[in-house]
Amino acid sequence: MCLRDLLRYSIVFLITLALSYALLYTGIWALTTIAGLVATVTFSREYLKAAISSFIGGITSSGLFLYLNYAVFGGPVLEVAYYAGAVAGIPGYTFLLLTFLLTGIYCVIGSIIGVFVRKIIHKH
Amino acid sequence: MSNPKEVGGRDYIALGVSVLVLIILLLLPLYIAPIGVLFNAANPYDGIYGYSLNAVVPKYEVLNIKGLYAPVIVTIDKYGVYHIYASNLHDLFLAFGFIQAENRLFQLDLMRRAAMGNLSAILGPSYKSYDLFQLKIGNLITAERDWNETLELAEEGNPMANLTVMALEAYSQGVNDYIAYAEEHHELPFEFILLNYRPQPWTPVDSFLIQQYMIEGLEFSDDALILSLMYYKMGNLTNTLIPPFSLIPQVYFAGYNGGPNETVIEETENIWLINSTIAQMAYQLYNEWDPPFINPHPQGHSNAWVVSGKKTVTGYPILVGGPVLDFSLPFIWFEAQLVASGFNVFGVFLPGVPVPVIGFNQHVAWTLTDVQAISGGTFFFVQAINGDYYYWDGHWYPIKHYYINGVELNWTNWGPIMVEKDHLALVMYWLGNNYSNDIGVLLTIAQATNWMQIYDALQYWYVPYQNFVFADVNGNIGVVSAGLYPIFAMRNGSLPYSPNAIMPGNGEEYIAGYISYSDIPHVINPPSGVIVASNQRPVGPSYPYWFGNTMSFSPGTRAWVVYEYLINHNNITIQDMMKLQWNETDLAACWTLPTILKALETDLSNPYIRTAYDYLKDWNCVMSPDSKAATIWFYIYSETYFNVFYRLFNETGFWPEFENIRPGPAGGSWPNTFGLRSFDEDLIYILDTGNGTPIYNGSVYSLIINSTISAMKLLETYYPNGNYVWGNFYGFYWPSITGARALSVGSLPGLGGDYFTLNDASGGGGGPLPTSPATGGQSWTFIANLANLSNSYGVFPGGQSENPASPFYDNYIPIWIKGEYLPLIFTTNVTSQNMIAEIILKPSG
Repeated sequence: MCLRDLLRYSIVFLITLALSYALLYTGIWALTTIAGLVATVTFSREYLKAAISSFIGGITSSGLFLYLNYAVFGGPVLEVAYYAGAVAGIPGYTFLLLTFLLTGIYCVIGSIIGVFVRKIIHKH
Repeated sequence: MSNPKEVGGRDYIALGVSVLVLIILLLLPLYIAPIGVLFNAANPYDGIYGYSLNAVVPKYEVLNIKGLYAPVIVTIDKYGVYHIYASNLHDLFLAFGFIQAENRLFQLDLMRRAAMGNLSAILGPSYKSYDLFQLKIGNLITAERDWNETLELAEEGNPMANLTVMALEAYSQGVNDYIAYAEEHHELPFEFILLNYRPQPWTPVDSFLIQQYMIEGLEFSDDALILSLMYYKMGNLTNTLIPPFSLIPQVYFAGYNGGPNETVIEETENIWLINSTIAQMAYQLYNEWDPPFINPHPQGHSNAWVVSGKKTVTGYPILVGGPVLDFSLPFIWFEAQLVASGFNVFGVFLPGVPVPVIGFNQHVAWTLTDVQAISGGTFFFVQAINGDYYYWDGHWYPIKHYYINGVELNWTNWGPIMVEKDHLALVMYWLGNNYSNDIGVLLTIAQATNWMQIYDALQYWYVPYQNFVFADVNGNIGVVSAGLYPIFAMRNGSLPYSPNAIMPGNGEEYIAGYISYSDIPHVINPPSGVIVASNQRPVGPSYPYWFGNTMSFSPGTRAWVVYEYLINHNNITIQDMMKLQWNETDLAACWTLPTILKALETDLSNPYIRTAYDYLKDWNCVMSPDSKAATIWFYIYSETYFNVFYRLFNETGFWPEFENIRPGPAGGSWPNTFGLRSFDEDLIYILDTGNGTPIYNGSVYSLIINSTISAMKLLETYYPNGNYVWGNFYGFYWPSITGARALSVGSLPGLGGDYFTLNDASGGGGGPLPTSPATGGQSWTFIANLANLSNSYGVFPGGQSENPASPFYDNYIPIWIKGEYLPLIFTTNVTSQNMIAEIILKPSG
């Protein structure tokens, strides 16, 4: 990966992160797809790199969201996730895994759509 | 990947797959409910994570609350106890509602659903039979009726009703304020998200539902069904097995120690003989009975005593409370001090009830134990029915129908029809369905300035039957077995059938009245200076009213231990009472041990007998965790119980016909058994006197020898290395109300004890841990010092918060399990030294 690519996908990552973080506040989780889409439609032409940077951006936004909204105020996020898992009858921390994974997946979906849209735009 | 500048087939595939995955992710939660729940719960914004903030106790917080007239200050002391200071009672109860909901919202909702029979809606169809039973017995019907009647009384100017209405409406507003706050801040307990529902607004009817739930736990019994079935199979032997009065010594705190009242004995033994149809109906109802409570239900092993100033070192009374309840997490109690103008009370509160059940103010202190009188206030009648009519006293009356949640409920003049068969109805008359404003009585007691005001208020306490033990700062002590006790009679003047069993419901037998308030068991300032109310029968054989048989009252061993100590000691201190509250002496063991040892001495050549004898001969009857003798005694006692009563059940044909009725030794300490107190008393008597006739006609010594060999063999299978110390059988377990093991605590070893000891270990001992831990015990170890109420002590084995991630989830358990106490900070000014947090609740808008 050249320096230019590194810069490009760092920007994809940052845009995904920022937008996903903001969109999480809507409570409509699937909207984080837009974060991946917006980030890549502007900056990316490669699916794999776009997907990776969006995925990382997505899961980082989840982590940041949990930290800045709960953990920073002393909220025992890990314990709550663990106990909720226990009550639901699923392995501890499954909820955390799901939280990170789903945000990442939504962003990846958005990023792939974004690359496609970018290609269509450039074609015309 | 494809050429970055071209749009080719691979691009369309990538797009198609992405869109497909997105659609799947969007549709899956809509069509597969569990996935929807998982997705909702994992949502970072409004999933489970917001609940983490509920576990945080900020040092200072200001919240705007709807409905307040003026600001309210809430402080949390270093032990996690809430102190709420308001300028008026309305704001006080509203703030309490908010605070209690903040700590116990899911428990509140679960308890009201459990009481009204609406669990299957959130927990699934497996709870349908539970719901149906709760609906049938009338909790919801009665709670709604109670609230409406209280409203009517309030409109008529009744002060107790007025206070109740104000308190419950304010409390409900407080709970609902918190629901709104939690929804807005996404802080609802995660159980709501995982069960995919939202809490409905709290109403005063819900508080009366909690009252019903507690009445159901404290005063609701199927004893009459068992007694009728026993009489049906065993005839007059039943009256020997379950005699009117105890054969073992009793402490009758309200007197009447004279000769027995023959009429009362005759009435108690005059059991109506049921036929096979009614027996089938009774057995069917028995099998539907005792539904799976999901919250702690009370157990009849509680202790309460008060000693007057003439026996204490301070010259002022000391009051001690130890109500025994099933354990759970969150625990049933919530601890707080409520302060407003003319109102300053400290104590433990039930979820949904804005006044302490047990506690103290500046002038008085009180605690409760269950009276356990008169068949648990639950009576059964057999009435003829024809179509939509029932027969009563020469006439046919229309059956009253209620329709709740799609279920039709049918009531006669006595109450709900529980079972119908061949034009007969088994109808339940449960005193729990009578009007009783317990919340109003407690609110009045909370404001009492002397014992007389407590005594006066208790005349309005109808159900559940409770021994209110109290003391005031003027040195007075007392107890009242508060409740509405019916007097049964026959219209032709003949002897009534025993209300302890099923009665004919044709109108022949009826309720002629109730024991007058001045005649119900009570004592004020007894000359001995001692009152002990530990679920034993409160009145002796000469009491002129039928008050139940030995089936319901506790055997009385705990009462004796306390009574003997208090009578024989002076200059009693708080520390003495602390030690006494955790006493591990098993009086049943003390009474039975001499005969057991004599029996064992006849066969010491047997190695099992020899081993048992060697341990037991020097044993002091203390059920301490390191004692092997304690285990050996418990198991010999249990084996003897099985050999006596189970053989009898088989010989008389009671089993297998009614095989699900399975009482067990030591108050039902063995798994899958229940406590039938008469049998424990019978066995103690047999082992004490060495005479088993007519219950056990063989040699009692042989019985003991055989039981000892069985017991020692059983212990050998559990512990081949011989390490069967009591601590390996005795321990406490706190199940989470969610059922999740990770949120439960235990088994934890305790100080020692069993069913017969003051340090009660309800339901434990019948097997090595962790298979059979005690699931109940002293739910609030409370010592009120009337010399200085600010120097009182108490702790309950749980925590204030239901949030498992909170530091206050189970923090009292390590203190309680060691028999230690926490000071109760009773002050109008919690200092910064004692305070960890302050919350200002301000009127919003």
